[in-house]
Amino acid sequence: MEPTRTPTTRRRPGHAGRGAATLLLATLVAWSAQGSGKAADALSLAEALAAEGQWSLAGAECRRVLLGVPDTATAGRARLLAARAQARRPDAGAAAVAALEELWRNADLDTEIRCAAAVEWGRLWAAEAPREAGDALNFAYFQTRDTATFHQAGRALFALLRKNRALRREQPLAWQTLQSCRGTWPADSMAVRPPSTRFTWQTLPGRLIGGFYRRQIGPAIGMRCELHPSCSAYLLEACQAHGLLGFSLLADRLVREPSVAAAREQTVTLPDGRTRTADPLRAHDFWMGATP
Amino acid sequence: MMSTRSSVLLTVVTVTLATGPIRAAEALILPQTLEREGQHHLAALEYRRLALGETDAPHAGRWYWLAAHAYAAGNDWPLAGRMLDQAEDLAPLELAVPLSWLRAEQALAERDWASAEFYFESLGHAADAAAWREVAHRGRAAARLYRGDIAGAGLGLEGEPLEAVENYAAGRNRKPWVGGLLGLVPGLGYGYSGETGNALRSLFLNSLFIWGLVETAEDDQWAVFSVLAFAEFTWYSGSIYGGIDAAHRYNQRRLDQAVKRIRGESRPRPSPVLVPVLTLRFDF
Repeated sequence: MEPTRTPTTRRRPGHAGRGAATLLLATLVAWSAQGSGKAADALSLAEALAAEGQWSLAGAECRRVLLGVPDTATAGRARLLAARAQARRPDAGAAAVAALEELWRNADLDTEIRCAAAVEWGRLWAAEAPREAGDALNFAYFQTRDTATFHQAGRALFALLRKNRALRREQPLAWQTLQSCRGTWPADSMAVRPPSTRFTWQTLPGRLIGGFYRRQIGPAIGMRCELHPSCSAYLLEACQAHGLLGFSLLADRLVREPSVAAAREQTVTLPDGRTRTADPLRAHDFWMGATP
Repeated sequence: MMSTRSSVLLTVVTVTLATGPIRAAEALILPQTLEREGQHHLAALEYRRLALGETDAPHAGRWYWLAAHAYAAGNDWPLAGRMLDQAEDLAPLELAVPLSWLRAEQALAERDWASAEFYFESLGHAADAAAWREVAHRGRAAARLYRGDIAGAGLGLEGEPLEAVENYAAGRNRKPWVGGLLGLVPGLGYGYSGETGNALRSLFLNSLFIWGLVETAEDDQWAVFSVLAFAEFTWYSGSIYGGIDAAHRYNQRRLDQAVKRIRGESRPRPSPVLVPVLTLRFDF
């Protein structure tokens, strides 16, 4: 007699394998979403840092984004921001220009990223190669849908065409459009100089003497000032804020320097690692009211 | 019964999920180390990164508060203010007390005495702990003293802080106009405010350049004379300005010393162990 089989719900062959595969797939999706989420977070941080003017840190954050697994859009934005950060470094050179050019000429990228890169590249390259810069700015001006980029491109293109008559003749449509709509552009940081660099006759002697010392004498004798900011920087700042009275502030500073340096009440570590005693202008003109 | 492959896979997933909090705790080590090394901006950046990765709003708010605290430690009050805005948006109720405190410190650092007084008063109302109220009373007194309200500064104080206010009230300030007037005689303006070294240096430099002027005039060296005249004019005007500024410095130093005594040496600081559950420790 054959043994009776107990009826059981037999699993279909391959059921466990499919379950495992589904689980694996879900894990991978979650993992990749986590990775792109992290990249997006890092990019948000980089953009916030750039908005705060901390370009060096913003550039580092962009590198972090690009080292991760960003999606195409995130990677494009990160590359753009990294190139912009690189362009703002004091030693920005060919690498920054090349990175921006690569971005704006890359037809596979999002148009807005290309336009923003084109504006940045056009502004950097306007003096060296006005024709190419004009092409880039034209592209950004006519292609962008972003208001800020449109204004920036318009301003940069207007400045370029105003200086260059030959280019103006070649691009009559752009010139005409720019002239008719420039009245609507908002005043922004590209057009208005910050107050600290505004020129007045009262600041001229301080600029001349301070600038001469910084360019001709300072490099020869090295940085000797024990205070931060250095006396030449203090003179420039004081003349900028108070005109010719800046010289009196400098004389007072020179008289006080040995005792302030000896007291070392508040020290500052400079980027090169040297330590100086802090003696800012605001500690000596706060009683004059708000610094202009 | 689950196949061996599935079991292994599930174990991997479970371990991956379980290591999340461990990774978060590990992530804290970096900002804390950076803060200990005095690299406050980098520490703040790490806190901001943690805040961005946080899904829970109050927790994210706490990270932003810690970023603000790190920026404040690095004396970057504008950025600290931005982080406080973020923290306030995310956790206004949970962080009411530490937010008021850091806002008050920001206002003091930015010399906005009225706002500082307001935030310290808010802190006094919002805080339950006696230590917080002590911080609030002392801070409010400091803000009032900076505003010139000496009588109001002493209200609600006792012991050492009250004594500091009374000592300040009993002392005398230097008059800047007297300093400027005395500065007409090189060095005297500095001397009036007790800066003897500066007085001697100012006297010496002015004497030296006046002597140079006389000598060059006698020798008809008018080019050198004009250079020295410009320099002497600078030293002399510096002596007058220095006399006024030295009086202001003297008064400011006196005020700062009084405020230092009122507020005491220590400040609340976040506990490095219980973050992101924000616990502040006091060392009065």
